[in-house]
Amino acid sequence: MAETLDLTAEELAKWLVERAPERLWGVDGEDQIEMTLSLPCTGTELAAELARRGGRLRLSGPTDEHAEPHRDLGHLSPVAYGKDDEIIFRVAWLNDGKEGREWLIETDLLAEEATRLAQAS
Amino acid sequence: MAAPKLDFSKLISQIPEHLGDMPVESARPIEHFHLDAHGYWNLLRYFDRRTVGAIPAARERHVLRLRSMVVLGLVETFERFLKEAAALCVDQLAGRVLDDRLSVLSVSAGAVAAHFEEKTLGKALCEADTWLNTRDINSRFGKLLADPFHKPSFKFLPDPDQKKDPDLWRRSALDILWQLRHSIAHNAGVITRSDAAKLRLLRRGAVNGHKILQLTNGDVWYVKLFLDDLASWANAKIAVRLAQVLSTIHADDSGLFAPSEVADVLAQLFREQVEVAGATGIPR
Repeated sequence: MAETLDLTAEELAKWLVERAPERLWGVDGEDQIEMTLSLPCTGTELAAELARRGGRLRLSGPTDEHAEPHRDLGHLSPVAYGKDDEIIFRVAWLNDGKEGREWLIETDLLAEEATRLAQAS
Repeated sequence: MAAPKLDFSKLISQIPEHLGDMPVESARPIEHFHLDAHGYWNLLRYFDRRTVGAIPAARERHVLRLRSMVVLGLVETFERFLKEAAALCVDQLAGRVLDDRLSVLSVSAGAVAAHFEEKTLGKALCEADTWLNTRDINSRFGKLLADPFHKPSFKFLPDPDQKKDPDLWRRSALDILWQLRHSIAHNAGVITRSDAAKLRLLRRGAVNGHKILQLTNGDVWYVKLFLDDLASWANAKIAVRLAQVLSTIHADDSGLFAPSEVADVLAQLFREQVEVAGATGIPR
């Protein structure tokens, strides 16, 4: 059974600003955010959009019994996936306590690596 | 292996029946662009993440092809953004000004007829053409967004000889992308000797012909970043200029429309703050 954590969009935004403001974050499967932002974007930018939207979210941890939750993400560790630098959250909006369709918030390692290469060249 | 015996005539003719509804953001060009550009980038990222551990030679071959497809998709998403932005301009100006500005857009009777019921004149006029050449794009926006009964004064992107224009780099980079798109779309990624000659002029540096594009993840990412920036810049520029033209029209005939209503419509469609005849529209 996957571990879940319910929180407000503002709380997730606060976590992004405090823990990963400079990381590049993508969103997959949430059209409203994807059409509003130029993604991937920094944690700070994604946090601002989440805070602007408000509402409640449910984060769901790994379902695979062999999958290990992420180790060092504070109170979000049990509901985050990813190896090494990668962080992935399975997210759903909660409307009147009812869970909507799942989507993903994930660090974009591809964009981060390409940006590093461009800055080094 | 011989092809299976299937009724290809029927099967192929059925393909245009496989349709979904247009997303709501298709009415707002910049949002439509963001969603699809990100979708293309996500496709590459999805493949990259989920094929870790695959046989390297096969993975590299597939990802090379995918990168070209994603660049093609990104450029064509930008082309569609330009068409949709131009269509909004047409819809806002047609009926409010009687000069010949719409003559810059080619249109067939069939295209107009197809749009007749929806009353989307802008789409009828802008969808038929390709918008893949900066000179043509400049000419169309220049005429569309000219002051009433005046020659074009609005320049969407600078001309190549406007060396001091701070936006010349946008023009130069976009012209290279149009040419790369051509090679991917029409020559399966082969840079012909003719393509190489054009690219050499555009980038002012050597390009070998009779070679095939081998894009890196970085190349795709830089295209995405550049087009994100260009689309946002263009969206704001077009919105502001359209608002100026409408203000000029309103100054000539103040009974034609209510500025606050038009400003609000523009702000919602372009997702930009605009001013029309002193009234401010703010995106909600």
